[in-house]
Amino acid sequence: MLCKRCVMPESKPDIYLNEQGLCNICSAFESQNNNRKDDTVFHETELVKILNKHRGKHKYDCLVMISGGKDSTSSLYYIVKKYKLNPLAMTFDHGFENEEAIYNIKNAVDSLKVDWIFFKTDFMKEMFAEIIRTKSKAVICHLCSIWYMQFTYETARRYDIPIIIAGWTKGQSNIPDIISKGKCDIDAPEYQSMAKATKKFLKEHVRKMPKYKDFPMSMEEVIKRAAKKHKATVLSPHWFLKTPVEEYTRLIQEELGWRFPKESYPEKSTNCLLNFLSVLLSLKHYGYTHYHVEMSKMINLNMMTRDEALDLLEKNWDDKMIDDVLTRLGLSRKDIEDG
Amino acid sequence: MYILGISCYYHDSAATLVKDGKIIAAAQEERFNREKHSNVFPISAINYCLSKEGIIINDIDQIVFYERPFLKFHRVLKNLIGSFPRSFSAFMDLVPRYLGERLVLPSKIKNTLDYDGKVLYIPHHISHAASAFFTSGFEKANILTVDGIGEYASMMIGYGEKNRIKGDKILPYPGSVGLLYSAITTYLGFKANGGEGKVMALADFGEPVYLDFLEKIMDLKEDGSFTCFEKYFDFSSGNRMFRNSLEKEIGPSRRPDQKIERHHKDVAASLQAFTEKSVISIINNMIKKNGVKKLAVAGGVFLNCVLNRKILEDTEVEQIHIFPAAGDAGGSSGCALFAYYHLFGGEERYTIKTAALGPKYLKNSIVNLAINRNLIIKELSEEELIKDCAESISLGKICGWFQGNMEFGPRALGNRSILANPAADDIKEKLNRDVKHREWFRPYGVSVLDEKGSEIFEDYVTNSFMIMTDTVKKEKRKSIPGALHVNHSVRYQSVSSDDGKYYRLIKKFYEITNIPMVINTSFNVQEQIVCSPEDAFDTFMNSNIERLYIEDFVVLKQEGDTK
Repeated sequence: MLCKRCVMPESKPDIYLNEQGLCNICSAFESQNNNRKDDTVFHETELVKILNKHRGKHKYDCLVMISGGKDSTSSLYYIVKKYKLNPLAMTFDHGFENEEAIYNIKNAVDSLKVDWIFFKTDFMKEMFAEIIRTKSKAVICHLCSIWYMQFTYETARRYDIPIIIAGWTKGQSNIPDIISKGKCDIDAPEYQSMAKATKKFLKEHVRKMPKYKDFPMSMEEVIKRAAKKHKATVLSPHWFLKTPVEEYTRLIQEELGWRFPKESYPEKSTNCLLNFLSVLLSLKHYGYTHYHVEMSKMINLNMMTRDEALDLLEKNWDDKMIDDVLTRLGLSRKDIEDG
Repeated sequence: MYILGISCYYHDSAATLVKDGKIIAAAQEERFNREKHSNVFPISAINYCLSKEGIIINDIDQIVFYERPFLKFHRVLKNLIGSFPRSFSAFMDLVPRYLGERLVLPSKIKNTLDYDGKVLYIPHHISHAASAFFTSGFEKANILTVDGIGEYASMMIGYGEKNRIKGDKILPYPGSVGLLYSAITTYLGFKANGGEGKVMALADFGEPVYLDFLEKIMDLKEDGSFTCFEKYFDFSSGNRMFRNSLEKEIGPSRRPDQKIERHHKDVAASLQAFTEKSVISIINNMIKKNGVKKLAVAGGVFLNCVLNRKILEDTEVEQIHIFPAAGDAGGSSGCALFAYYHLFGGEERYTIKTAALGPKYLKNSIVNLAINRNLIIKELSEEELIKDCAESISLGKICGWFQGNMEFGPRALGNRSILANPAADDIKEKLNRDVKHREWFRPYGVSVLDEKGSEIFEDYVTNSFMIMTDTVKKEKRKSIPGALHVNHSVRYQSVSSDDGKYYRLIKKFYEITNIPMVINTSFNVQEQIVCSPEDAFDTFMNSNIERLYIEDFVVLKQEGDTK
C-alpha cells in the first residue's frame, strides 16, 4: 500500500501510514509547512552571497562533483555561465560508470572550458562484493557516498578549494541545515533501518578487511575528519533555484549537447551501473529506495506530481544488466537470491 | 542594462527590475510575506525579480532607492521634536528604526544581497514622477505627483520631455492632500493607509456641506495649494490624525463600530470635493502656464478613481496617464527608470501595456498542491474553461480567476480576480456580505470589452488599469444593477484582445448574456491579494467563492457540483 500523497510504501519499521493514509514523510512535511517561516526557505541571493565570499581568492573558486547526470551537469553549467566562477570539475569512477555519463561529462568540461579530474579506481569493488556475499542489507549507494564524500573533501583540501558543489536536488536535501553536512541524512526516520544495516556491515565486515582499515564508519565521521583538515562548504545550486528540472535539462541539452542514457533507474536520470543492483537490493530489503524518498520530498515541494514520480520509479530495465554487474563483481544471480 | 529599484520602510515595500528602460518584473513584498502593506526590506520581491530574468545580483548594474532617507529622517525628527511630549511614543518607535536600518540602507543591501556597488537615492516625488512619465509614452507632458508625504513634499509639479523630467514646484509639509485624506479617514472611523478607498465610496452618498469650512481652515489658494494647520490635525499619529478642535467645528468623529450617519457621508463628500478642487486647480494652472494638455500622474492620491475622472471632465487635459502602481510601491519602478534615463543616458521610451509583472506558477505545482489538499480539480481545454467560467458567472456564481502573472499595484486586472455577474440585482450585497465581508456601501469595479465601452459609458476612454470611473448611460443602467454605484457611476477596466484569455472570457460572457462586462474584484478576503496557487486555494476553500479557475483547471468545492 502506498502513501496517498507521495510514493512511499507502507514498509515497517521505517514508514508508517496514518489514518488519512499519509506516510511519516508527508506528515512531517505537513506540520513543518504549517509552521513555515520565510527563513527556512533558501533564496538564490543567499547562494550568491556564499559564492561571492570566496570568489577569486583561490586558484579554483569551487570543486564541482560531476557525474554526467542532468543535475550535476546543470550545476556545473550554472557555476560557470551564470555565477561566473572558476571551478575544478571532478568525477570519480568506481569502475561502474556508464559510457553515456562519461560522454556527457567530457562534453560539458570541454564546452565550458574547465579543468577536470577524472579518478578511476577499483578500490570499492571488494567492499561491494562483500555486501552481496554476506547477504547484508547495507545500501551500496550509502557506502559509495561515504567514500566519494571523503575523496571529495580530500581533493578540496589538496587544492585549497573553499566550496564543494554538488548536483543534489531539493529532494536530496534536508532543508535548512544541510549546508556543510554532506548528502545523505541517514539519521532521517526514513533511512534509519538502512543506516543501521550500513553501520552494522561497516563494523562487522569492512573493518576486518585490511584494505579498508581506515574507511570511515559513517558520513558524520567523514565530515568530522574533513573539518579537522580543511573547511569547505558543501551545497547544491538546485537548493536555491526554482528552475524546474525540465527547464534546466533543456538548457544543458541545447548548450552542452547533454543526452539522456538509454537505460536508467529512475527514468530520466543518469546513474552508474551498480545503481541497478543497489536499487534491486533496496527494493528487496526495504520495499523502497532513496529515490522514493527523494521524489516524495519533491512531491511535497510541489516540484513533481505523484503520477510523474510513479512513472519515473517504475522498474523497467533489462535484467541482463544486473547479471553483468554481478559478473564484474565476481558473483552470480545465486548470490542475491534468498536462501 | 539592469537596474533594480527598491521602495520600503514606510508602506507597500516593493522591488522593480528595469531592463534597458523597460519594467520587466515588479512585485510588492506583501504578496509574498502575507503582511498587508508590508514595509519591510523586500527580499522576496527582489528574489522574484532576479529569478524572473534568470540573473543574479552581480548582474545588476545599479540599485536605486525611491527616496532620500536622511532628508526624510530630518523632517521626521523635526516634527517629533516639535510636537514633544505628545510624540514621545512615536519617537521611541521611529528613531531606533531609522538608526537601525533605514539610514544604513547600503549596509543592509550589502548584507542581505551581497551587492558591492553604490546605492543611489532618488527623491520621493521624482521617483513617482519618473514612474508616471517614463511609462506614459508621451513625448512631452506635464507631471503631477500627489501623495501623503515624501521627504518634505507632498506634491510635485513637473514637466517631462523625451528622456528628461524636472520638478518645478513642490507643496511642502504639512500641506498634503494625502495626509488630509488619511486624517479625515481616521475621523470617519477607518484606518489610514487602507481606508481611504472606503471614504471615496462613501463620498458619493453625501453632500459637500463642509467644503467651505475645509477651504477656510486649509487656506486653499487659487493655485490649489493649501496648508494643514496643526490646530486641527496631528500627522505624527497614525491612529487619530486630527485634533479635538476639528471635532468642535464639524462634530464628533465616528468610532469604527458606530453606524454610518448622514453627517459622516457629508464629511466624506466634502473631503472628496476639496481634494478634487485642489488638484484640479493645480492642473488648470499647469496648463495655463505652458499649454501642455498631456498629463502623467502618480502618487497614492491618484488611486482615487473619482478624482481621475474629474480631471478629464473639469480640466483641459486631453490625455492622462496614471501609473498602475501609483502608490509607494510604484516608487521602486520610478527610481529605477529615473536612473536609466537621467544617469545612464537611456533614450528610447516605451509605454507600459500591462501591469502583469509579478510571478506566475507552473502547472505541475498547481496539480500537485491540489492533490495534496484533496481538492477536486479538473483540467480543461482553454475553450472549455472559458465556456465553463462564463456560464458559471452568468448563472450568478462567484468565481475565482487565477491566471498568468500577478498584477503589480493594488488593482486585480483579471489575473488574480474574483468575478461575478453585474446583471444580478443582489450581487453587490452578496459579495460584500458573504465573500469579501466589506461595508455595505462599497461598490465593485467591472472589466469591460474595450470595443463596447462607448456603448455603455457616457464619456468612455480606454482605461486598462481600472483607475477611473465613468457614468453608465441611462438606457444601460437596468442591465447592470449589480455594478452601479449610487450615482450611476462604475469603476471600470478596459479589456482588449491584448489581454488574451481574460478578453476571451468576457467575450464569451457577452455572447451568453449580451452584457460585455463582468464584475471584477481583487482575489482576497480581508487580506492582501493572493499571489501563489497555495494562497488561492486557501482563500477559495475558506470563503464563499463558488468555483476557482486556476490556469488550465477548474477547482470545485464538492464532487458533482454542477452549474
